[in-house]
Amino acid sequence: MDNSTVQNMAQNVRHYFDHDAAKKALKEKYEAKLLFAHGNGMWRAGPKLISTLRLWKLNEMVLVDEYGNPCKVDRPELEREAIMRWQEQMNAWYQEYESLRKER
Amino acid sequence: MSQGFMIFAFNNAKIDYLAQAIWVGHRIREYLDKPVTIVTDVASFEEHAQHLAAFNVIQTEPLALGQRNFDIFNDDRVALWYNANRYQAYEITPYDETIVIDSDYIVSSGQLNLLFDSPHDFLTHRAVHDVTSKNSFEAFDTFGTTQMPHYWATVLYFRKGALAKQIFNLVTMIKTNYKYYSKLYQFMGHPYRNDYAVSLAQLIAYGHRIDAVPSIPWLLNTAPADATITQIDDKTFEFRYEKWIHGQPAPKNMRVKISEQDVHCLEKFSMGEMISG
Repeated sequence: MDNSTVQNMAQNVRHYFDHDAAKKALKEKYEAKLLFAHGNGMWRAGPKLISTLRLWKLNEMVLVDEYGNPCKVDRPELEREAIMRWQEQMNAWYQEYESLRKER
Repeated sequence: MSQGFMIFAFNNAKIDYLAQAIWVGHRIREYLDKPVTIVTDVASFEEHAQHLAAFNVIQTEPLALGQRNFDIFNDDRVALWYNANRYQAYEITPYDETIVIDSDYIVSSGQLNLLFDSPHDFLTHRAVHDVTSKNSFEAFDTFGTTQMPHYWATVLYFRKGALAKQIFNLVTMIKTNYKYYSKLYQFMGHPYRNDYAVSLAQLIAYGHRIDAVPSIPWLLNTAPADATITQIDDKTFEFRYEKWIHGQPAPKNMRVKISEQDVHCLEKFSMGEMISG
């Protein structure tokens, strides 16, 4: 058997879809997409941020961002952005996860 | 404030880095809608002059980090590794805010634009995510026997100003006195590593307070050197690799797809084949 035949066989050998790696890669992808900038801070959309924002009725408040910096924020605006991003990315994550589950 | 990307690309006898940079540069234009400056040398430029019209090009002398084997499966792919010019980025960038990326960093999303909204003037990645889920980079969390935190210079964001200038001055100082720093922090003094110089420069700039150094708030997706790449569609790539599964007598052939997600591809030869079509 010559070299090219061996190489050809190696290329055509079956590669199993790595569900574990795909699931983790997907998590990294959507966790990154949950980040957004608002005011002078960097925020991660999620239940913790949304709940905190909903708990208060003030229009302006101080929150600590992803970098650990206290930032003065426009509460209703940040809440709106956080909810929008959270819903958008969760739906996209779910769709992609469902299609990956079928991959063989 | 002007914003843009810079890619340093100097060809050697084994790898066409400039072809990678041109390919990645077009993807930056497509996904991030920002101008791209490619820094290269005369010899590499002459090979690709007709493909560089879409970019701002800066020509400079390449500086070698040393010899490197570019293929972990073959020992005949050793060549000079020209990747020491990054310390010049601050002086030569035409932008107020710049993201310097490696030519093997495949852009497939708009994620990097978020760095332009960052409150920090200088950022690199602190942590890596191995897309093959083999944790190939665990050993790279720190460097040297003093276990200094390892920051990755693969993606480097800076906004022109006092802090960024100071960090680049420190990188230059560390590069000039690399042997001294390798002895001080007890890591290999050769070849020169951009990652180490940038890590130490940030640490010094932030007053040697490890917790004070900010980093890019997501992980650097990286495919290890044993994972070969093929392109499925414009924004989807498949990596093939071997993986040991618990209880199995031999490694299994595995594949994973990465879609709409940036990825740092360490295996240069399959990437080269993919780009050349």
